[in-house]
Amino acid sequence: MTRIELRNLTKTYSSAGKEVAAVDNVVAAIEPGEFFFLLGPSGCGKTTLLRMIAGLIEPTRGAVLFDGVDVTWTSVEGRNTAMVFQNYALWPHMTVGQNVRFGPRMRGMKSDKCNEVVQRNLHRVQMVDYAARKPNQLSGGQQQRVALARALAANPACLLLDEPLSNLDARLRLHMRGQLRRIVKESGATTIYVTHDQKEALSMADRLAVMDRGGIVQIGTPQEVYHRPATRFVADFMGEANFIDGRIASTTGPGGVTCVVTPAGRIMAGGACGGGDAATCCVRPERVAILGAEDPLSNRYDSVLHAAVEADTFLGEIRQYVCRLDDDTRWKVTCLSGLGETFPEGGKVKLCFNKDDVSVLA
Amino acid sequence: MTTASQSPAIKPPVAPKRRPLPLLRSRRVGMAWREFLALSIIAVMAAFLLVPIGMAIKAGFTHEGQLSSYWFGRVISNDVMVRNMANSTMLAAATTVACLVVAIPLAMVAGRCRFAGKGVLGVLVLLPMVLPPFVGALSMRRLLSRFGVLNQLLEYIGVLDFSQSLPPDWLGGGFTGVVFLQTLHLFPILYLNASAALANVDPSYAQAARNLGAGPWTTFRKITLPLLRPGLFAGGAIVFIWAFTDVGTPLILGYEALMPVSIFKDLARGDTGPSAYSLVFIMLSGSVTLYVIGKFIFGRSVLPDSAKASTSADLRRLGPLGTVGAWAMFILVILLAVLPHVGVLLTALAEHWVGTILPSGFTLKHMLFVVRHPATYNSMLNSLKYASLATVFDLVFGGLAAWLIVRARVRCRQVLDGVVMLPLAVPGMILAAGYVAMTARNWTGGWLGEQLVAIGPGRNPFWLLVIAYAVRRIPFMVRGVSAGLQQVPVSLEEAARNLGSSQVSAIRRITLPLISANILAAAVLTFTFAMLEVSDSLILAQTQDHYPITKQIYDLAASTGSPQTGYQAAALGVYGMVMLAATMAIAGALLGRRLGAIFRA
Repeated sequence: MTRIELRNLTKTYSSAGKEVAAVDNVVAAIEPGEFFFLLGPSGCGKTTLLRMIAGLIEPTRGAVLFDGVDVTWTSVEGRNTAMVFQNYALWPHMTVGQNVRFGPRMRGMKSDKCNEVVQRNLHRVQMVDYAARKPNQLSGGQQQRVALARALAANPACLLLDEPLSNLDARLRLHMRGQLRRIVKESGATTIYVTHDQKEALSMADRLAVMDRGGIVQIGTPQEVYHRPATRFVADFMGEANFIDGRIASTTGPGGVTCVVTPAGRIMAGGACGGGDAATCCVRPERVAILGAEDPLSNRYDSVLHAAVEADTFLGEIRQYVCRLDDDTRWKVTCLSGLGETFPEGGKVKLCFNKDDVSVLA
Repeated sequence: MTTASQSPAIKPPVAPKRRPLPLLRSRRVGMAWREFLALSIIAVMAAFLLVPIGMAIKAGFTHEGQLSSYWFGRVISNDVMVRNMANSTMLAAATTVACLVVAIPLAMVAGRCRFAGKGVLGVLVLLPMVLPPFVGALSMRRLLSRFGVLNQLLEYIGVLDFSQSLPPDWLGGGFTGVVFLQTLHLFPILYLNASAALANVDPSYAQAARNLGAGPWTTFRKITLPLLRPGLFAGGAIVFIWAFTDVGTPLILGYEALMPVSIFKDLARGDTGPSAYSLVFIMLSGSVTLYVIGKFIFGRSVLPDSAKASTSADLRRLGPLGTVGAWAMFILVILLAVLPHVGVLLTALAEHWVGTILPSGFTLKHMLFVVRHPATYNSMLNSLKYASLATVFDLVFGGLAAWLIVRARVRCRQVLDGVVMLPLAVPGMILAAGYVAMTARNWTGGWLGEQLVAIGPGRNPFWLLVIAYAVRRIPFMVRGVSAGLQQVPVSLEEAARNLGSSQVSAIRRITLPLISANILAAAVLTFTFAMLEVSDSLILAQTQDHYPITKQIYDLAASTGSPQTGYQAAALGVYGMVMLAATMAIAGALLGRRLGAIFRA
């Protein structure tokens, strides 16, 4: 188990005479045995960052440290990382067994010991029966598991996964999430996983870093990042979010309440907020309760905004309303379908939520 | 109040009038037409490829009018013939190995690294292909023989002393010289094959190996090389067959203990006896076997269909030292390849060049002589005529064949594909021997036989040469056009059909413009190689009036009548090279990196 530290890691490319930063001044520490995610939209630099950790790309500035040892200029083969490539990169001229055997052999393991390692790792991913097959005789999900076994067999200090599920169909992807997390956690290796799929990150990660335009915007546990997004970008990227701009009217000490005045009404948010007057409030659609205009239950909530239902969409297990607030801002509200009252399009409603459901974004 | 029937917007749907399809546009007739076209091309190829070869083989197995292995037995028990066979095999093997040694490092550097000037070097390194080794050979003796330029130079700087010992013969009795020239001529074929294969090998295969602890050399040996092997085998087979059956270069260098040379000598003497044809059979079997092994056994790709080409982001950027090293590699090979041809240019411009490092005086008289003298001038004109007509033939038949194979999905497309690609496995001199057999006597006893005799090598071989050139080079045209067709999605044509265009019109207005560069480049290449054709030309053109440029060069070089003929042969060679370089430059500009597709058989 290895602790990985990234210090001011930067990679710039020159394009048409201009320096463009693919990865910009990234600082992060990944704890031993942690399952860490790099999450962001395509082109945000997450794969470049991963390849710099593997040594496949040389950084322009900054350093990569494994257990406090600077490996920035260590060769690819000298780093003891193992990567699962997005397209798996299983060598087509070798069998599954030979593919898995390659890493331990290169790390100087004796032949009979290798066989044992190959067996153990193929067993781990339930592919023992396929050892004699060529990669092109396997399905996508099987190839993915072999690629994982090949990486784990090398007994790496750090396991790197580059969108390993992106080539699988939706059902298989869901199924593999659980399996992958189990196998990786069992192996105990420090693991960095790159993905653009926020559901994947939320459901599998110990901690995750959200990246945008080459930089890390927020690092935290899935719950922290989802419920307490640091910026509008993070809130938006991690799922559906409602925003409204306003002005901080009052804030009371730590553990207190912040009151934000918006054109649509007053919003109470948990915790103290500093830094400037202007603020954006963010509330997830599933944290908003929709009540009839006359419903007295609204008294139980910290904030109530008046709105009109603009659209009502039935989505199977949930029902989604698009509502227009008094200042013409559109908010989404989701509730479990089949529970409670339904509201006709055009009807007047109240959108209610508590202070702990509101994030105030700077 | 308006009723529904009055409203123009909601008229009840009227069944569209079905326009009767013209006969040729109905589906079934269209398919029948395609099958007919495919069968016609197969028939033409059979008549001018399979029949002549069959006749040559039959002639080798006929003794006193009976089928017999008498001549074959005599040939393989003849020590001289066995030695020639061994020599030819060794020569081809040496050339192939040398080509691999030159081509793989160049392809690896070009395919996996980024450095300044790579584009220019990538084009320049193909230049040797247009420098005919046959012409280069003209200057090799002058440069590398015992008292040639190299040894004169070495004596001048004090390395050698002629008075102390006999200077070395760099040509190695001809063998080394032929290998040297053939290697520098043929390595671009392997370079293109290796580059194309490398482009299909996803860089992540090598990255995965490095990531799991393998060093650069282990990664190359265990991962990259095995994945390149199919491409290298396919290219290696072509190089081997080419070297195995080359007549021109050994002839000019005077290395004659080779099987193709002895066949040539027999056929050129007009000795169309069975023993020459038995040799033809042996050579053909060797070539075809190798071709099949190269293409179908070792040439099968193990890569998945969705193999991705390397992107520039995956390429390693070389530092200043690496760039200099890469440049040095490329320049050295290019210089070596150009050297013999520079020698030819100097010879063509030399007043007198014997026993000195550089010619003693320069003159344009040889260059002017060959354009003024009817025989040499005519040979250039003849070559242009033959090559142009052969190109037109290939454009029509090859283009059509490519379309039938890739797009029309005719039932016999496998056969068609096999037949139009077969010439790659059939050396020029074997085809020529077949034509000699076919036109030697009136074998049908009727009109057709008479016509064939009339176009025989000794009578008027104009059409025979055109057909020989066309048949030999049709695979390049088919490959070139197929490559283009495969890059144009069928859906583009389908969209045009869907909007009311006929098939012919869709091809003309959509597909043809999109693949015009491929067609043009393939045509230029066909033309170039037709101009370069040596073995068929030497054998089939037996009357001076019909000599193409290559035969005229050989005639002048082999002539001992006047000391001037050597210079004149070189001058003619220079004109040949200028014509070839111009056409190749166009092909390179049009096809760019896709040039390799043509050579991937």
